This record gives sequence, structure tokens and C-alpha cells, in this order.
Amino acid sequence: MKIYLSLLLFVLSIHINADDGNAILKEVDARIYTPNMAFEMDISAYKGSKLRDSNRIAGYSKDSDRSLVLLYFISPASLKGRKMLMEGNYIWMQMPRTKNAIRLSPMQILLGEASNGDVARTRFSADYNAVHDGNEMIDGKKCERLILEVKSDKKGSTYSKIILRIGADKLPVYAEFFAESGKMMKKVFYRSFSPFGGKMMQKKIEIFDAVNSENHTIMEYVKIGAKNLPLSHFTKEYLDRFQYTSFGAQ
Amino acid sequence: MIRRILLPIILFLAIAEYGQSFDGFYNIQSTFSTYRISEETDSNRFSLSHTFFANHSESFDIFNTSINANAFGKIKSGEDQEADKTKSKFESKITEFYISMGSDSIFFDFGKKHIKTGTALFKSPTYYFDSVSGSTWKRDSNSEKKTKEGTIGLKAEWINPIFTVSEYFSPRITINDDREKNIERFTSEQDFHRSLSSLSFRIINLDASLFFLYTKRNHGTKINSGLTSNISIGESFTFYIDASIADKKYNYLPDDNLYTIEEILIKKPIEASSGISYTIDENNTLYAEYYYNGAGLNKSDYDDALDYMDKMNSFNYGSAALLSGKYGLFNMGKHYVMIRGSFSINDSYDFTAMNILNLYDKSGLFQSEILFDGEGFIITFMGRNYYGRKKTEISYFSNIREASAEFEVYF
Repeated sequence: MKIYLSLLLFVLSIHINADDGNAILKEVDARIYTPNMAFEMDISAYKGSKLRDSNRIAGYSKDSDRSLVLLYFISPASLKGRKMLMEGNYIWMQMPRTKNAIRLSPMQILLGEASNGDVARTRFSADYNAVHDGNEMIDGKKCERLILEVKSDKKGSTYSKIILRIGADKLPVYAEFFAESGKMMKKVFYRSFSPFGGKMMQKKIEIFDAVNSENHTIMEYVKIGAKNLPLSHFTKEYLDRFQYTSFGAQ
Repeated sequence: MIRRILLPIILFLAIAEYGQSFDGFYNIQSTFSTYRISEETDSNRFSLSHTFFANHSESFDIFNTSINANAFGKIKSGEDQEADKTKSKFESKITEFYISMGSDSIFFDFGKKHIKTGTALFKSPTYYFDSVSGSTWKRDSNSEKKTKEGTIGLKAEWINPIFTVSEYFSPRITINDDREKNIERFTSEQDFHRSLSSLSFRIINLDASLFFLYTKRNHGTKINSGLTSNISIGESFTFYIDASIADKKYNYLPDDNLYTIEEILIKKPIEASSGISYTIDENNTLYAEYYYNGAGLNKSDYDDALDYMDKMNSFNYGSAALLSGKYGLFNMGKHYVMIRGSFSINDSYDFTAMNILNLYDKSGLFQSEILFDGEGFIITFMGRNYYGRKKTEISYFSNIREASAEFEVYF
């Protein structure tokens, strides 16, 4: 009888932890500013302290049940004019001076340690179920620890599991990203938040290669503004017409 | 002549003063070719040509409507002009010149624009506005904007998240093309009206487009119906198919007395290209493609045509070239395959190799390309070799070996 009771309590505790985890994750998503917005972002890849690669990309994101992002590469010159549409796990890329858009997966696009899955991520709770897994100190800060498992209908996402640490302010502090094989791929620090559109905007993200920690990438928003493009612009057919125009930052 | 090319560029530079962004590039391409002029002596003639492309694309707002304007011009010099002294050594052309405008979901393009339809790299049967014919051959679909001449027309497109409907109308334009003075042509001359309607949609992993092309000629009409689709399989594979059926098409064969070429009507020929691509990452991709040409010649007609061209060629009669010219390259056979791989050697160098093979006579084309990207400029070296025994499809096209260097500045 005791065994059954223990088992029942164990199952209930998992359920409660999952409910807690999902509630916290939704709270995190609600705190972070999600699209619609226009932005310009610097993505700098380092090997140790040496700058390996630097990109400036501009784009628009759209609040939708899928992660919808239109990207335009401003620099370096070799990539200028490259356009991308990200629709969840679909990525269409059009090179400058070409007509055909080609399809890629998020892992096939290389921006230092940042895959487009990182760039496009707007809401954790859309893709992952969370379980609360106690507390932990990160950089001297007491954090709640959430284990995120990809939802069954989102298989094929860039990462199948994330261990996310949340600060007392319900903003992400640190996360570890795992591939489907269980191998840790990246360690991510969310360094800087500032108010935008009545919520908090993560301005700087630092991504470390979990295998070779010398390799790291810093993604930093240099310009953000509210912009709500029509849904029709986030289609493959529109990609050829997409022209990025600079905007005034907020 | 140069003034005509530079005019749109100057115009757009002026507009750029008011515009919000602009893109473009300058491209200089030099091609060295060897022409085999006699099978018997194996003697060759050499030629060097240069092509200069300029492209400016500008975006600006008028009355809250975003308007995009593009100008794309080409100057070509040094082609094999020896045979006709009346021709200028220069050819200049506005290859694209159009404006695009629209609202949230309805868009219009007006002017001369290259209309690309179809997925296949080597040959798409639904690529109805491919203006290249004869012995010239596109590098691959990724160089379309550089080399393709557009057609004049009006395109209306309704894009929404579920489907896209478009209509493109290109009117009949016949002008007096004074080649002696080599008047730069803005138009793409055509003696027929064309209307292309399309519907594109996605079902789960499948992207598909349906096409209906109506062509009105002086004597009668022509109708093509087409389909393109591609489906993603896992993270790395994409399978695609483009197919088209025409109500009629004509083949050309020597008549029984071997002095004239007669037209042979083919009813409802089907053309289809299917292929698979394997993407390792954004810079490393492999393609394999098969092209079925329903209007291609059957075995006996194929052999007859090649025999005829061979005989006429040995007598130095122009009818051999006339017959081969009617088909263009990679149109006589029924079955072709292509494989293509592009690989990134490091951050600056890319390598691409492609082979096209006519499965019937085993003739084909091999080309390879090395590209150096120097941040703001690109240098490309390309080698192209047409191969095949005597009396094969390839042997009647003059460019046997070709090397080109290309320098491009982009901004």
C-alpha cells in the first residue's frame, strides 16, 4: 500500500512539477518582448578573444503560432543582400542576384555558434514542455531550473532539450541546449535586458560551443522598433520582393 | 550606346538621394573560347569576348506605397564578328528595367523583367520565359539574374499565407531591329502575345505551383499546362519535379531528298525534370537531376538528323547549322541527366562542378568553377568542355572548349 501511495505521490509530483514548469515558462515568455518588431542585430563569432566572423543582419518578426522572421544581411559585403524567411523549422534562403529560394534546416545555416533557431526563437513555450527542477546559483544569482523537452509535434526543432535557468525577475539567465542524441551543443548566457514595448527585451545573448568553449558568439540587438508587417510578407513567394529599409530605433 | 546603359544607373543614383536603400553590382566577364572549325584538320579559331553588366535596385516610398525600381544593362564586345563586317563589335542591351509596387498582399511589376518559373537546375519544362537558346548555355539557375534577358510585361500577384495567384501578360512587340546600326534594344522582341497564370500553395511539406500558358501567334494559338513541386524529406533532402504538357510542338527533320527540312507536328508532348538535392549546409549542396524530353527524336530520326548534319557539314552547306540551330542545345534527345556539386573550400573559396549527359549518344557538357569572394568583389574562373564523339548532339555546337574569368564588384 505504501509503495502504491509513494508511486502516486511521485506521479503527482511530476505532474505538479510539469504544471509549475509550464506555468513558469509561460510567465517567462510573457515577460520577454515578442514580435511584432523590426530589428538590426550584430552577430560576432570569436575564437578565444579573436574575432572570427561578424555579421549584421536586419529583420522583421511576426507574432504568430509559428516563429516567423524575415532576415536581410547588411554585412559583411559578401553576404549583403542575402534574404531569409524562417517559418518555424522551415528556412528559405535567397542569395543576392538570384531568383531561386532554397530550403535549409536551421542547423544548416552557419552564423558562428548561433544557428537560426537561436535567432528566430521568440517563445519557449510554443515549442517546449517544461518541468520545474529545483533551484541553482548562476553567476551568484539564485535561479529556478527548468527542464524543457521539445513537444511531440515540434520534433525536428533545432534542439530537443533545453535546461533553462530563470532569475527571480522571471527572465532567462542561462541555458544549455541539447541535440536529439542527448549531446550538449551550446551554453547560452542572456546578458542584458531592457524595457521595450511594455516588456523586457533581451539585448545581448552570448553563445558558447559546448564542445569547444573557445568558440563563442555574441548576438546583440543594435536597433529595435515596433513593426507589424502583414502575414503575406512572411511567405516564400514574397521573399524575392522583400526589400529591407532602415528604420528609426525606439 | 554607353550613354543608354548609364542613363538608368544615373537615374537611380539620383533617386537614391530620396530612396531608403539600394543594392546592385557591376560585373565584368571575359570569355576565351576555342572554336573547332574543321573536323578533318582539327584546326581551331580563338575568340575573346567581354561582357559588362550593371545592375541597380532602388527602393523608395511614394504616397505611402513602396516602389522598387531595377535597371540591369549589358554591354558585350568582341564576339566572333569576323564573318559579318557590317556588324558592330559591340552589342548593348537593357536586359531588365522594371518597377515593382504593391499593397500588403497585391503586387505589380511593370517593365522588362526576367520571369523565372520552375525548380529544376538543368532544365525546367515550366521555365516558359527562358530567353536563352541556341549554343549558349546558362551556368546554373543561380546565375539567372546576371545573364538572362527579361520580357516586357505586366505581372499582378496576390500573395496570402495560404496560396499565391499570379498573372503575367507579355504583349506582342515587333520592332524594326536595325542590326547594322546595332540599336540597343529595350524590348525583347516577340511576334506573339503570352499570358501565364499560376497558382502556388503548400500542403504540409509539399510546395506546388500550377501553370497555364496561353500563346497567341499570327496563325493560331499554343497552350501549355505545367506543374512544379518540391517536397522536403528530412533535414537534408529535397525532391522536386517540374512537368509541362503542350498542345503541340514541332520537330525538324530532313525530308527524303535531303535538300529541305520539314516540320513534323507532335501532339501533346510531355516534358519533365525530376531531381533530388542533398544539402550539407548552406554552402555545400549536391544535385542529381533527370530530364525527359517527350518531343525529343526517336532513335531512327535522331540518327537520320545527325547523318544529315554530318553530310551537309562535310559539303560545307549551311543547312547543317540550320537544323542544329532549330533544336538548340540539349533538345534533340529524349533523356538527359545532370549531376552538380557545390562545395565551400574555406571562407573565401567555393568550387562547383556540373556534368550534363545526353543518355542516347553519350555527349555532354562538363564545367567547373572556382569562385573567390574578397569581401566586396568576386573573382570567378570557369572552364567548360563540351564532349562527344563525331555525329553526336554536341558536335554541331561550335563552342568546344571555353574558359572565362569574371570580376564582380557589388555594393
